[in-house]
Amino acid sequence: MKSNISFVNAYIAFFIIHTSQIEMGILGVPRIVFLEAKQDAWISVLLSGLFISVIIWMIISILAKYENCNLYEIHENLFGRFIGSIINTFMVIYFIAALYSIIIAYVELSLTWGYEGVDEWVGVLALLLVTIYAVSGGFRVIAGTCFLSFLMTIWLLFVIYQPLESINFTRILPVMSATPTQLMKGVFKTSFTMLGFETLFFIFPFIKEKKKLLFFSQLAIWFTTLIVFITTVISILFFSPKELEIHIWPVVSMISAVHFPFLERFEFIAVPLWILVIFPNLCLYLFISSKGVKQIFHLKQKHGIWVISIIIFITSFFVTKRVDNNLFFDQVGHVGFYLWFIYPILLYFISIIKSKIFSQS
Amino acid sequence: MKKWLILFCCLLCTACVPPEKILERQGISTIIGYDLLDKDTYKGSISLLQFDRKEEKTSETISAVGTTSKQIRQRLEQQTSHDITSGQLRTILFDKNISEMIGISSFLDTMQRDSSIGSLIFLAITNNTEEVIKNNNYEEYPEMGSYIYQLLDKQERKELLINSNLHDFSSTLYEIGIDPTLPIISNKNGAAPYIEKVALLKDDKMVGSISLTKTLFIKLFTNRRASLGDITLNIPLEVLEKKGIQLVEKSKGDKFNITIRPIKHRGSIELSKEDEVKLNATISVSTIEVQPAITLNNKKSIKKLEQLLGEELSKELGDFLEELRKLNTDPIGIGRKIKSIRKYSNLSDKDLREKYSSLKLKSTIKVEIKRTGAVD
Amino acid sequence: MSNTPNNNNCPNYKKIKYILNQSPDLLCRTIEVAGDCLEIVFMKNLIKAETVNEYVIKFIQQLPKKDINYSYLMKNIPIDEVKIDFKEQEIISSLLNGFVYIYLLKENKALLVNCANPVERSIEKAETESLVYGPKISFTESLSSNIKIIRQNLNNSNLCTDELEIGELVKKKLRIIYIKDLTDEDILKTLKQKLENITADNISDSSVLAQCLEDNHYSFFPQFIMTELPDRFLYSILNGRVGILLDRSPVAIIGPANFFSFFESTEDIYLRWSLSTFIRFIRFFAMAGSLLFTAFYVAILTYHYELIPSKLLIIIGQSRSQVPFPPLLEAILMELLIELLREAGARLPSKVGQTMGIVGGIVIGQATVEAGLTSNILIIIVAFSALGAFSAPIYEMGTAIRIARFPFIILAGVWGFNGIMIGVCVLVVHLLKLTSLNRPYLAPLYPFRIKDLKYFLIRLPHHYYRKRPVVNRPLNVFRIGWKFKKTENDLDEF
Repeated sequence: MKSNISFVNAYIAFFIIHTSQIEMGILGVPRIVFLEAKQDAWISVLLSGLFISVIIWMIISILAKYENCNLYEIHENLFGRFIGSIINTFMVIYFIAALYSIIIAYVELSLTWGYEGVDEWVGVLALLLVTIYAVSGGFRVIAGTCFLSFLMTIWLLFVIYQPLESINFTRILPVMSATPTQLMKGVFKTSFTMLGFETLFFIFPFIKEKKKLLFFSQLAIWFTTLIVFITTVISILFFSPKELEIHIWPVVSMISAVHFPFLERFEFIAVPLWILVIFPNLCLYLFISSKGVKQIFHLKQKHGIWVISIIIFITSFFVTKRVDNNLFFDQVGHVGFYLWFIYPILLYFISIIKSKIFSQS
Repeated sequence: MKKWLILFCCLLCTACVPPEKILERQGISTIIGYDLLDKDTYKGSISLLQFDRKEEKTSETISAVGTTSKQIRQRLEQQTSHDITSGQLRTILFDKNISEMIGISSFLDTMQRDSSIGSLIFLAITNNTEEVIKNNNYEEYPEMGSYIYQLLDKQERKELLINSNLHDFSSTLYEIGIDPTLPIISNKNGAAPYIEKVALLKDDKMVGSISLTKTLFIKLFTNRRASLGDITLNIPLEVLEKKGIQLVEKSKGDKFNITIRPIKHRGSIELSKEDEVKLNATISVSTIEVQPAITLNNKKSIKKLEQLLGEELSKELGDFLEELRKLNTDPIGIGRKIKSIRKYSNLSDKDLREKYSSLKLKSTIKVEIKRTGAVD
Repeated sequence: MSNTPNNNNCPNYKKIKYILNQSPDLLCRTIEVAGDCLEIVFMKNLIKAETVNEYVIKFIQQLPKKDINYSYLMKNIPIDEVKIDFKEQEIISSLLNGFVYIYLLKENKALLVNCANPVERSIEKAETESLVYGPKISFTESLSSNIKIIRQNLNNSNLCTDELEIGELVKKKLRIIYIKDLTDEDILKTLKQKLENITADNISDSSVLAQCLEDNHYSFFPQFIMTELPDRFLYSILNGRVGILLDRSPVAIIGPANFFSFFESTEDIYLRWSLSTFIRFIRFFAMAGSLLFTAFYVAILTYHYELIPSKLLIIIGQSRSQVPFPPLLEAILMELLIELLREAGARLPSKVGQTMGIVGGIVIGQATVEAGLTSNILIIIVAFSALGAFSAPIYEMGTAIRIARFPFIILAGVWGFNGIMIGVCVLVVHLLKLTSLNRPYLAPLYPFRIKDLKYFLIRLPHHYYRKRPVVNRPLNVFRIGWKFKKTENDLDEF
């Protein structure tokens, strides 16, 4: 059964994990963390990077125990088919919700930046169709989109040099004025943005050199942390505290200070370009959730993607208002936090205990 | 079946076209001005670009009265066949009455909420905005909006002006411990508008103004990359003699005039004691005009001249700071600096202002003559 | 050769005439010598008359009686290609290929000798792929002269030219050309498998064959390189690719192709590295611009006027002010006009073609702007995109870009930049999905092979090319063994 899997090199894991971490969240993260930890938000970002680094290590050691299994299979293995399926169903629902949250967040952003008056479902449908096209190409194509979207968008980082002209260093001072609780709350909020490393659970069977995986996934999450860190620091230095608190997408507002002699208002380019940034995420989440559907219901993955897409499309008629969306993102973020920050630790100990019991008997 | 479904979806998608904003159907406003008519009623004037190739006129000015900026916009909309859009807006003008009595911040909300307004547009104050916009003298530029934009942009890049775009303004306005400044544009009949002064604001209200050359002292401490502009000093000859600097030629008047061009500068604000702030700055300059000529070829005389210039500038800075304190405005950001120290980081705006007015300010400027031009 | 082949059931002239539907071209010359009778059968227009007269008929007539038998003839007839072991079907096809059938009635044995006189044109300069530098020889329609060119240029014993026949009604010879210890077996196997699967009554040209061999038939993009330049062909073969030559077709097929190989020209190797790197970047830029520039124009004018810098704003606005169409329609009209000009120019004789270009380019362009039907900015953009598409070294890639431009223009007109970006996503996924002979189309970008980028993206000085590109999985990686000598002298020595 495993014989016709398409393998990819370990370094591709770097691109997959990194691109699945960077999505809509990074546009708003400086504000969200700033609301909690004030000018020490950057410390929270670094701390959450550390936290994820530990979790990545745990995930790899769980996966190493079950060779060539993804999380769904591990669940069935650990808890049996019935309980495993229940947990898997829950995860599939989470991934569908996460997929929807990315799509609707993007559609909301692009409606604000130049497309007022369009129905949300149009954008959702367009993005879904492209995603279906990509996912139907299989894992090789998805890994390819991760890689290419990274190459095609990483240069956006260098655009930030223009806002750098009007930053002020005193805004970050005094350092370490936030209380530990504030910092921890900041870590909690950052984690919503940093979610995405959980794809590691599901891409593991596709990676060729599994020994190198730890290195590349650590590299990926630290690179993400670096990018989130840079954007957070620059946003803090760029905006006055009051402004940072009111901008929903501070990074986009910051990019609006970018202009070239041949181009004014760079943010109107950056927002459409962001499709390329979220595109790998959409592909991965659709792929993972349809894989879960296959595992639970033994439905062909080909049909699974259509079923999930239809669910998302229908949802796009109901959850569209800014306030609703915000609530929805928060809920997805919360569940995501417990699912991927707390649960892996639990799973790690369960798997250790189980393997001990087995080795004794 | 699947292919037909995809095709159908594609058609469905393309059927839902977003509202078009075709260029020539837009009434593109490049400049907008608000005048205060009454309490709470404003008059807004905009200049709309005209794209007709055959007509000479490239812009048209219309105005309307209303209570909020969007209401004004609605009423302006009634007067034209184009959709008024602000995506190419480059300058917003406020009249003196608004800036002195009402304050500008009530207009800022819509500018930040409206994504079509960029953060690089300039804000400026003038006596009567409608007249400025209606003025027909705009050098070689096609219309008033681009002229004023070029004017402000050039001054910001070149010298004499503190950054005054929307982002800089709102970030200094909302930040505790620093007050914004805005350029004042003067408009005279038969001549192109020009920048006359720089307005000092306290919170969002104008409290006073300074001449353009004085902005040097603000830029010295707020922006290391800004160009300071040439500095001209007129020093009485007696002071020169006291210092022991010898003139090479006979002087025609009783003043020693020197113009220096700053090359690099570095300014720092330090809270040295509980209530004493030191403002130190170093400027490296090249001399570009010296009248009457003095010897600049030995170390000693240069040193003396450096000292002299330093003292003069420090004195001017001291006076300038006192002037600011009298107006209780802080465009240099001394309050911000104090707030960045852990002990004072919880001070409120009011506390900071109190502290600011009671501070002892010590200012020293060091001048370093790096070049003397082609002759020495 | 001593054992006589088993060809006892050789047909005689009558039977052949019957099989060939009483063709008037079929002639028979009967020679009676010493009681034996020889039939010399051939197709009139397909043979070279002198050869038949001199070396077949005259030779047989001058032979002493005792030598007129099958085994002597078989050994001594002064013609290079003699077939002795064949089936009935092969006799017919050989006759149709210009062979002469010599039938000895008494012995009931026969042999075929080659006196073919194929229609050939002389070898000329390449036309569709013109070069400034380097060899200018091009393939012709004749398979044998093509093979001759290749063999002469690549005199290696490992050069394999496997022969296949393709087509049901019209049988055509086809050669698969590769280097034995170099080309990956998998690629060859896939190719041969694919060739076997083709059943067609006639493959009219190698471009048809290439389209039949493609993995994705719906794609805009060519999945094989089509070239008429032998040096390009050889360069590809030497890098581990497989070439196909079809008889009666002057264009060779090279596979597996990847996206970037359509942007390399052999000239890049001949020119200095700095220049060729520069030219390659220009080509990539031209391609991207050709694909997206008009779409950008439409998107900006329809939805994103905010992006226009203030200095351009009035110029663009003025040029658009008289145009009655929305930008989408305007752009599509202009693009169609340019395509029309190109098509008309290509169909007309070359002298009239030039006039056509002038009429189209200057008169129509000028007139439409004057009449206010289009903006002059658009004319510039459309002209640029047309030029960009023609800069592709492989003609087929240029056509692909020209077609792919239209969906982008429509997307831009419908959704602005978001539409363009969705188009880019589809394009990227499509390119990722494409394969050529089961090898990924976007290699070496994905799967990423950093060492191959110097082959496909840029050019470096030649001593960097010691190894072959690995994307074609060559069995032998080593390429040039030439040591780059560094100067050991100090600065003041010489």
